[in-house]
Amino acid sequence: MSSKKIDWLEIFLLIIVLLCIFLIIFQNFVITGKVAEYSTPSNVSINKYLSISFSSNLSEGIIFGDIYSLPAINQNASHNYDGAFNVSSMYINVSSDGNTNVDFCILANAALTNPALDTIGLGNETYANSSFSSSSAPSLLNEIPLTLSYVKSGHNISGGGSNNYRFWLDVPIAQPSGDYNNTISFKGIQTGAVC
Amino acid sequence: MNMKKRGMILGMIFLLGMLIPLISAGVGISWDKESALVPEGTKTCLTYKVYNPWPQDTAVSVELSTSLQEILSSTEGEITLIPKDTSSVNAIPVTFCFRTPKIYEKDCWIGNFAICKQECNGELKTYEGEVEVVEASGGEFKGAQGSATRISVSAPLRVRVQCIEHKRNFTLIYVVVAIIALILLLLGIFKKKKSKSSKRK
Repeated sequence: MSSKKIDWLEIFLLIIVLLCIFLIIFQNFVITGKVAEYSTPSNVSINKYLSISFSSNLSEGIIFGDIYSLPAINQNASHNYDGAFNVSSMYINVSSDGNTNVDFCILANAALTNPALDTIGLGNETYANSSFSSSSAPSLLNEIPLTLSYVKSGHNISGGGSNNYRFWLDVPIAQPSGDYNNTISFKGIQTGAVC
Repeated sequence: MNMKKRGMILGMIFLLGMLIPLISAGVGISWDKESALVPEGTKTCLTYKVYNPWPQDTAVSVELSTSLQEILSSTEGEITLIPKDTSSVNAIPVTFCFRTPKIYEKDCWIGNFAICKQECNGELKTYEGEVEVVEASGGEFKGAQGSATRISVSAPLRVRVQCIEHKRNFTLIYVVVAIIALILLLLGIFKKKKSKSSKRK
């Protein structure tokens, strides 16, 4: 009689175990909420491509040379006027192997700084850009101070075109002597995109 | 005549100088997606292509803008060498991977891990930024005073993190109950066997 009772208990426990296994499977492999939302990456399939290149003088850096007299106002970068017919030899070309026009962005990583951490204010280093180049363009009249975040410095340059730059530097009278450096970044983006 | 010849030669040299492109190595990017919808907590890899149609070899690295760096988990081929005259048709694929964080709060009965349900009522979290291909050799300054220059091209990328809605998961309870039932069952069987063997004796 007692043996029969124990059998019923065993059967009951076995049913519970099987039921639990069933529920685990059911919960994890059958009821998965909104299964259709898994693995559905969505993307735009429009191919775009663009390429740009520094002129060799711009790739070497923006050199202001030695300054012997302070204050120096609108000190020209060495390559501002050394192209043929006094054009700037600092430019960025847009490749014709591209299918989107290019906007340019520019930033400085820091103010010009010497090893003793003296700085020439970022606002003292200025630039102007132009999609065409001549002895008067880019013009000092359009000079813009460099900034620490990207700003547009060229718009809608098509393949085969170029964005030309000139740079100037103001050095205050009390500026400590030394070699001052920083890094200026140029970025090409599709026209209309945000820097 | 000699003067004329000399003048012509000088003129030709000048013209040649004008025609030879004074171009350094460049960078190019090709992309076919600007957005990705990725479930939270999953690793995803995206492939962009880099090319260099310019007359000098170049080395590039792929970087992500700050807003996307917080979900970046790995990049493959950090610096890629692109031979000169690599056109967009022969662009070299560069892959980078990221793992989307778990950002949507779960409603759990135990801690933040057990017997949970996920409701997705809010807006999807979106990370916006750009994939930037930077000329790796840039930033070296050859003068004494002035600015080094660095060139890059970028493509926009928007990553939307998908919330996966699910009902409360009772697996833990089922497992605990199953284990208890199994232990009781085994104990019962063990006792039964023991009593049978003692009866035989």
